[in-house]
Amino acid sequence: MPDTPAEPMVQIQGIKKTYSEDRSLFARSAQALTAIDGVSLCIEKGEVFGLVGASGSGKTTLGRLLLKLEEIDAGQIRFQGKDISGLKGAALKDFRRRVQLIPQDPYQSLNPYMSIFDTVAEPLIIHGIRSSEARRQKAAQALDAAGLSPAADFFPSYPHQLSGGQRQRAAIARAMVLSPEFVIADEPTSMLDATISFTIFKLLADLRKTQGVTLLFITHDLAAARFLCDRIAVIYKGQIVESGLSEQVINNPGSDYTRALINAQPRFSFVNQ
Amino acid sequence: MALLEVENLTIAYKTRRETAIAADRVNFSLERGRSVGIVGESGCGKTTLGMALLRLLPSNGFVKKGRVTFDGMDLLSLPDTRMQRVRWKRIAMIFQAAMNAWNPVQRIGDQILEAIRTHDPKITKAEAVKQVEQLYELVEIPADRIFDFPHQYSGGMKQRAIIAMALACSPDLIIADEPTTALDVIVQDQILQKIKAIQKEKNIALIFISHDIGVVAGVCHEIMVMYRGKIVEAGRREEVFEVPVHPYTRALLSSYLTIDGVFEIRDKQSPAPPCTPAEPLSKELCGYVHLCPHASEACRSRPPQWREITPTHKVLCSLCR
Ligand SMILES: Nc1ncnc2c1ncn2[C@@H]1O[C@H](COP(=O)(O)OP(=O)(O)OP(=O)(O)O)[C@@H](O)[C@H]1O
Ligand SMILES: Nc1ncnc2c1ncn2[C@@H]1O[C@H](COP(=O)(O)OP(=O)(O)OP(=O)(O)O)[C@@H](O)[C@H]1O
Ligand code: SF4
Ligand SMILES: [Mg+2]
Ligand SMILES: [Mg+2]
Repeated sequence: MPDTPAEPMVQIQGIKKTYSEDRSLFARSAQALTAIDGVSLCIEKGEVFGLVGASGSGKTTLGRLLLKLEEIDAGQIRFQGKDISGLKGAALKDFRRRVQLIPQDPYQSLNPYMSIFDTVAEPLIIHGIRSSEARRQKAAQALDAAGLSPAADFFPSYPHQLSGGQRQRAAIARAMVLSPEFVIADEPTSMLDATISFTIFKLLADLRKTQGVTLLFITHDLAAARFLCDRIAVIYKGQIVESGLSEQVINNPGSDYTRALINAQPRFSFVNQ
Repeated sequence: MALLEVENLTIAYKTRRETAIAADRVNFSLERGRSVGIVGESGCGKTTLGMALLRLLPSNGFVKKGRVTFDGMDLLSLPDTRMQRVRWKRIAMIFQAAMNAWNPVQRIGDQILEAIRTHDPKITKAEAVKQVEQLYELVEIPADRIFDFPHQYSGGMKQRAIIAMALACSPDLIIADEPTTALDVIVQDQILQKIKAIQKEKNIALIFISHDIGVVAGVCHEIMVMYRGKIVEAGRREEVFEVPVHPYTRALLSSYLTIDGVFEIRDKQSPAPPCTPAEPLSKELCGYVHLCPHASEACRSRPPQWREITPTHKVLCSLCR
């Protein structure tokens, strides 16, 4: 053991989340659905951690639990060493500043009636930045860092005037404007073409480097995870089936499920390389 | 004559402020049993093009000019009643995000039966049920799930049921708009294999729309790359992957992450193979000029021309030798 181990950003111990009744009206029976079934993970400071799994495996649920948008039924989540279950009042507000989400769909996540400036500046207002000059400055910095520059040109725009990639950059700027320490990106490019996804991945890698932010990258695309992540965990039906260094998991998959994910990736076998 | 011929198709949307062209002089043809993929970024006009072929554009959208000939019929001037008979029976469309459009309070089987019987009023209920059973076999959903409600299906099952519905009338042409985008890789792979097998088995023509060139490459014989309303490169799949010429196509391919890293284009430096210029298409400058690493003075002053690299591979770009 090293003498002074750096404190991890996030430690998850045996968490569970069960939805007791089916959301829908016509369920045959109201059986419980265990969306997260005893997950333990540790995300180190400054790393990009990938959570990879198929649809319905529990990725978004895990993200929502980490954001404390929902409560766990069992286990413990520690953020920078502190249990988040009891957070209230000022402590909760501070947590909400330090942990941010980049949502999946830039077409639905941005308010169509808010200009890009208002979209990015809104979190600043919520977190009590009163000076409008300070807000302008921070919003401009965030937009620039997200690759929307000159920022002032984008301030008056509305989401429908931006391309898909630009919208996702605006959503990233909104998530980054409060200088969070931990950011969860939930399938941030599944709606975008390869050229745009690639620039978004590079942007995320860049933000990690320049701002030291810790990233949880949620995806079902192993190729993207390999490109961006130091370590990945593969989730299947609410359980982690495998985790390790990205290269290692992809080159030496230890579970049938990971192998199935790898085999389902598009390949261009018809190209005579 | 090919099953489908699209000539100079130009589609626009009227908004309060302007009339914006969403698809500009699109030309292609498709034979029975062949498949063509349309790829391009969000908003480039893929759905618009698909909808226009079926005359299902939203009310502020219209075809400005061009022709669509399907099996000898001029689709754009067909009377509404005849067009209705072409839709779904002869040309079926799988709409973008269709799997979320199942009526949540009606059993899926009933929804398919209803569709079959509206289009074929003479068929008996028993015959229609039989047909649904066969379709379910084809898309590999157990027959005892036919009369489930939508929420009892997984996303992949809902999408397979949509495919079953599209196949119900044995169409000659299917237009599939992002049929797998919301699904995870494993389910996506299964559905793509399914679509490919059925297309081949039934000799159906397929137009496959996606923003993901990897997905298109897995399914289609031919690829058309679309950028800002224009087709900018079209060719056989192998040609487009092995000798991509248009700088946007090259950017699309060289930013495509595969499990082994980024896709590598084989001919590394030559984006300008010899080619013969064809007719100039438009009066406007190239739409990619603001991002293109090869943009020259010529690109900023003259519109690009269609170039033929091979008889089956052409590119809209000024870059060729
Ligand atoms: N509020 C809820 N009530 C009931 N069930 C839920 C709820 N939220 C999620 N679930 C269920 O929990 C499981 C995990 O869902 P989750 O959204 O976390 O999956 P995911 O891995 O993010 O999938 P995708 O890739 O499709 O986004 C699913 O079976 C889902 O139907
Ligand atoms: N009803 C409409 N009125 C005005 N403009 C529209 C309308 N529908 C689409 N557009 C515009 O036409 C262009 C092409 O849209 P289309 O939906 O065909 O794109 P797409 O390639 O299918 O994109 P995606 O990959 O996001 O589905 C876009 O710029 C879009 O904003
Ligand atoms: S015409 Fe010129 S600017 Fe346009 S893609 Fe070709 S080289 Fe680039
Ligand atoms: Mg999710
Ligand atoms: Mg579309």
